[in-house]
Amino acid sequence: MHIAQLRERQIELAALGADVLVVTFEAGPVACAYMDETQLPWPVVVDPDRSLYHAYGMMSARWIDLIGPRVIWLYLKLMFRGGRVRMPTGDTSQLGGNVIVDPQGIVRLHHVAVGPAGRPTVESLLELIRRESPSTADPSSPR
Amino acid sequence: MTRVGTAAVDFSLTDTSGAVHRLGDYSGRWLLLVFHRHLA
Repeated sequence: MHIAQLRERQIELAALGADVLVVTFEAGPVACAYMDETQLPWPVVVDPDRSLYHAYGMMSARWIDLIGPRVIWLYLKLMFRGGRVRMPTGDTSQLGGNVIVDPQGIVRLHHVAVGPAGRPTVESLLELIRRESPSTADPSSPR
Repeated sequence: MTRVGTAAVDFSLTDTSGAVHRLGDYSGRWLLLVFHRHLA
């Protein structure tokens, strides 16, 4: 769902000079099938030993984070909207998240998603980049 | 522990088409890393 929402804003992301890399730990046919299915406009890179995940503190989830009320609500909303809910076959305990790196190579956002329902909104990601980009920032605002 | 304000972790990862992506490739651009939980 998060990726789909990002995709809806891909033009805005590109206009802000932002590149997107989707990171997965699932290699080979699984990642290729995902690319074929989603037709994502961004590269999907594979981190098979999860070293980049771990470097950003994305470890294994607790069971309550995987099947808690927020997650059930998230999937119910998806079903009401006509979305497809599949039974996962991969490692469901691996946490995901979002990291934004600025043009100087400094981390500006580091978010570990606690379970499927824990992502920041796409608008908040865009807003951070807008706010910190000299070309789009309000010149009257102190930085 | 947050890494906000620190240098991004260097990486060299291969995408599904075989191309290698390094942190340095994105120097001078904003980069959004989206870490997936599971694909399948």
